[in-house]
Amino acid sequence: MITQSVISENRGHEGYWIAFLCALILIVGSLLLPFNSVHDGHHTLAKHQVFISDLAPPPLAMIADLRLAHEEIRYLYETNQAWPEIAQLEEGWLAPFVKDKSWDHQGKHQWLLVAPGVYQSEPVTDGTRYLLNSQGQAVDIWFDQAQQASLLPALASTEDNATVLSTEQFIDAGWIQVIFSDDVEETAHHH
Amino acid sequence: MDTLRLLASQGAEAGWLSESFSYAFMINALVAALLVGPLLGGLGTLVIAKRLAFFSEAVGHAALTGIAIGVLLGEPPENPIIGLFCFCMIFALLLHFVRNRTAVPYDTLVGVFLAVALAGGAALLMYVARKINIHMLENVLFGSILTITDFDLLVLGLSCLLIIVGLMFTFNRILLASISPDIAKVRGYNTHFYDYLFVMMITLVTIAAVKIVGAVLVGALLLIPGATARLMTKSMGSFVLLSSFLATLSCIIGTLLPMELKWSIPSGASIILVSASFFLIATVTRIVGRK
Amino acid sequence: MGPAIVLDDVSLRYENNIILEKVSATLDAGQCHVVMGPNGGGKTSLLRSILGLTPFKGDIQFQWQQSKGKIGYVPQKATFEPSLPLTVLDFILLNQSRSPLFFNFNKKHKVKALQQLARLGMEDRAMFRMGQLSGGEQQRVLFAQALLDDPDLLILDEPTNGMDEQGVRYFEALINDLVKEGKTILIVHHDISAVRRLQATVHVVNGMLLESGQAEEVLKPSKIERLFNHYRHHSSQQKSEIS
Repeated sequence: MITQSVISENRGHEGYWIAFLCALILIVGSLLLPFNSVHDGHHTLAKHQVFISDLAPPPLAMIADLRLAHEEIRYLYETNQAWPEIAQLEEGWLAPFVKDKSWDHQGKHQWLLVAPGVYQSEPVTDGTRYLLNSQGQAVDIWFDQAQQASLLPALASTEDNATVLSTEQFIDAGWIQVIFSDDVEETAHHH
Repeated sequence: MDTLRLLASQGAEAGWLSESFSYAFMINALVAALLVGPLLGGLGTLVIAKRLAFFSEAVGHAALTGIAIGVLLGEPPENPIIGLFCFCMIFALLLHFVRNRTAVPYDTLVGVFLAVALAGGAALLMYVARKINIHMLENVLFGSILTITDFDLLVLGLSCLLIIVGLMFTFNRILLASISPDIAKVRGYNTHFYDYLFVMMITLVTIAAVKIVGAVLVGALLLIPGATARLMTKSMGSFVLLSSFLATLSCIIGTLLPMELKWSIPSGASIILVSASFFLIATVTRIVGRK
Repeated sequence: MGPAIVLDDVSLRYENNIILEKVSATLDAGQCHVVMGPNGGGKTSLLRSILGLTPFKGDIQFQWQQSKGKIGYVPQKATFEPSLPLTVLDFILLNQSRSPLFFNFNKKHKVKALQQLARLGMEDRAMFRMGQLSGGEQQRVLFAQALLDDPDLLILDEPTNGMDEQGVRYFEALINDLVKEGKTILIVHHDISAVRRLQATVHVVNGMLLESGQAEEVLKPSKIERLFNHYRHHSSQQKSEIS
């Protein structure tokens, strides 16, 4: 004779199994994560380039201002079909062109429109020079810490729209280009 | 895969395949549709039988949060597969567990989880998209056939194979456990195991299909082909086969049609619209036939 | 040969509801046992406890004569959604094998399924949807399902509810055959005359086991009232309408 005991229904074990499964998933996930990470470091930079994340804080404020200014300048360009003059940007209270307290603080940069869509700065006190290239949709900012780059002359007249400066000219002149992490992603996928 | 693409482009040049087939991404997208379509249809029948339509919607929307988490953790935006998989799987398991253990009415519970998934996903995704790449938002929400790589197809193929093999052995038991859990238990089937196994299969298929259909609509693809087939079949076997066929057909047509007609609508939307039009035709035929 | 079932101090409670209390009994092997009592008295719960489907306390044991046998269960009802295209044949095949319904090209399974259905007179309804059948017809299919593995212990919960006369005849004939084969049968039944026909051991359950014995003794007119009224002997009880 075989005796078989009837097992009472007990729901207690369900919780343990689920907790175990969840823990397992998390462990396996965290183990596999490094294999699927995007490393910024993998993208090698050219000699004339530097990552924004590698820059010290002082230039970052100027660069942030220039990024916003770039959007405004592009908007004005598309609306008026002409590159805004420095005077226009000052009147529009656009940083870093407007001569306010922070302009004072940043080194009283004198801005010049040196080519259609290219704005160059010259600090009054010794400091970094900046160059904003708004020729393209994406923001393109260059700087020159050592004051070694050759300055580009101011535009003689605003009608001279034929001058389009290329990246090579900036590199040749000795400017350093700032690379943002977005740029890396943008060049990685073809949109 | 390369030979397939070569054949396709030759066929396109020869003229008996349309021009769309000469694009590599199109071939990839069609192969993906062929892999995931039958599973969506087949599992969809069980979703309907088990009344888990709302549940699969929630899991689909959880994909939003999963993708955002993956990208935040450093995964590439077009393939945040680890974040996506881990979050969706844990989400689905917890949802089912809470359902089993509390007295909260099912639709309320799923509603809460779905809202949390959507809100969390939207918030994280917006933040991530601003930081990284705003274009990915559309792809995540509504699918993008342009970004299916060979590696994607490999992962897709393996998971589909896994699920099909699993389904071969467990379909009957899962169905019995949903119709009459008591009979299943007396037969010695562990109904909890089969329930959770099914939940995991649904989640896996949802994750696999998110790239093609997008997180917002992927739940619908588990539902509409099955709902259509239900109007047209008389037995369970043909129900499953017809549902798989309709899902695959919707995926293929939905992928090809915008390319052919040169419309720039996201693939997820076109697939669901094609699927829904099948449903509409079946319903109208049924109503008219009854008269 | 079917098993004997031994219950020892079995009780079942959900939160504040005591469904069963101190049920101890021995159900002899190879006999037909009928459980009767008022609605909500715990009959179904007792059956489900014996099947291990409830969180009962106490001991329940099957004593098999030789080797462990199979158990067949016919539940009170199963919900079959009318629009789900699950045919009668599909349902039996589901219970029969793992071979999935969408890939089932095995003729032998189909033949066996139809044979089982024929025992209940349902073979010509094989292609009907389960949801389209009447309650009594569904019961017959559920019975057919229980008989698939040739069980030694058969447990049925109100199996003739909604059945027509023909169904009841099939049912009673099958039960008699099974008893002759020495299987143990446990039925929850309401129909007193049917129970008398079955010549079974009757157990009256109403929160506890009130009486066990032969039909003639237990179903005396003076005692019949107990089968329909709630008499719970504990002051902390609430009358619950769970059946």
